[in-house]
Amino acid sequence: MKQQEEVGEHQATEWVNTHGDALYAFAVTRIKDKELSKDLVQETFIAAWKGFKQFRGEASVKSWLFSILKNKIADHFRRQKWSATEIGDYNDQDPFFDAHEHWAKTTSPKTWEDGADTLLENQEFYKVLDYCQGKLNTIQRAVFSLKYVEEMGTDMITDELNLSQANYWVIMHRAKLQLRACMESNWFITR
Amino acid sequence: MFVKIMITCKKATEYILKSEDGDLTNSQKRSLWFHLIICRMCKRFDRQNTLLNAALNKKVGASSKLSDDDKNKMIRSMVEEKND
Repeated sequence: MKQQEEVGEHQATEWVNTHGDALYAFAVTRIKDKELSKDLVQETFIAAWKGFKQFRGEASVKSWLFSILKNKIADHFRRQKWSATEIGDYNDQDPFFDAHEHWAKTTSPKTWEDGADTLLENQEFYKVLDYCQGKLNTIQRAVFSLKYVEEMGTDMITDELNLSQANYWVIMHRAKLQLRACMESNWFITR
Repeated sequence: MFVKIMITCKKATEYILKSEDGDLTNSQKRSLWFHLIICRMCKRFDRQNTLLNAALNKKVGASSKLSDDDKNKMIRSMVEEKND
């Protein structure tokens, strides 16, 4: 009995050490919440562990774990009701435009001096970009990481996050306006 | 006819983003094209957005890793589950 337990622990350790980080990175990219991502990965391991008898080894352990995690993430987004404040509404009065929907004076785009070629090699620039992305809300950050890290198209993103196309564009529009303004005041203007 | 082609800056910036997906109708494309000729601010937004896209595409996301504590917790929870 004791021996069996040790074999079990050895197996569990191997699974977690081999696949834990990859599963966690996959979850964090989508959910943008570290604690919740850890919980889902833990649930994934437990579900896989309990269902090990059903696992016939047709797929690799890795793809089996990922398919469980993907289901858990999809469940999460199906349950999640994005609040109106997180998504925003196209008709909301926002700080970027005036009552006629033209650029408000203070927040209108200023000239950016730095040339793109040198900028994209500058590590400091990416730190500021990180900082500004960090200021976006959860759903905006989730959309960004699926688009720019996972390189998903709009249809896949709306599927994964359970969003309508209209909501997606409101989120993307607002996020880009915020990111642009943040980069301008923290990088381009201060220099 | 002329009035119809005029769009606001809010609309123009939305069209700029949608055009990345090739999602604009022909009349939307015409409206945007016309707006960008007359609006310096939106022209700037367009250029700056292109630059930000390049940076976002190039940026390598710091890959998230679990701590040893997290991993041990997971292993424990699995082993305990099996013993129930």
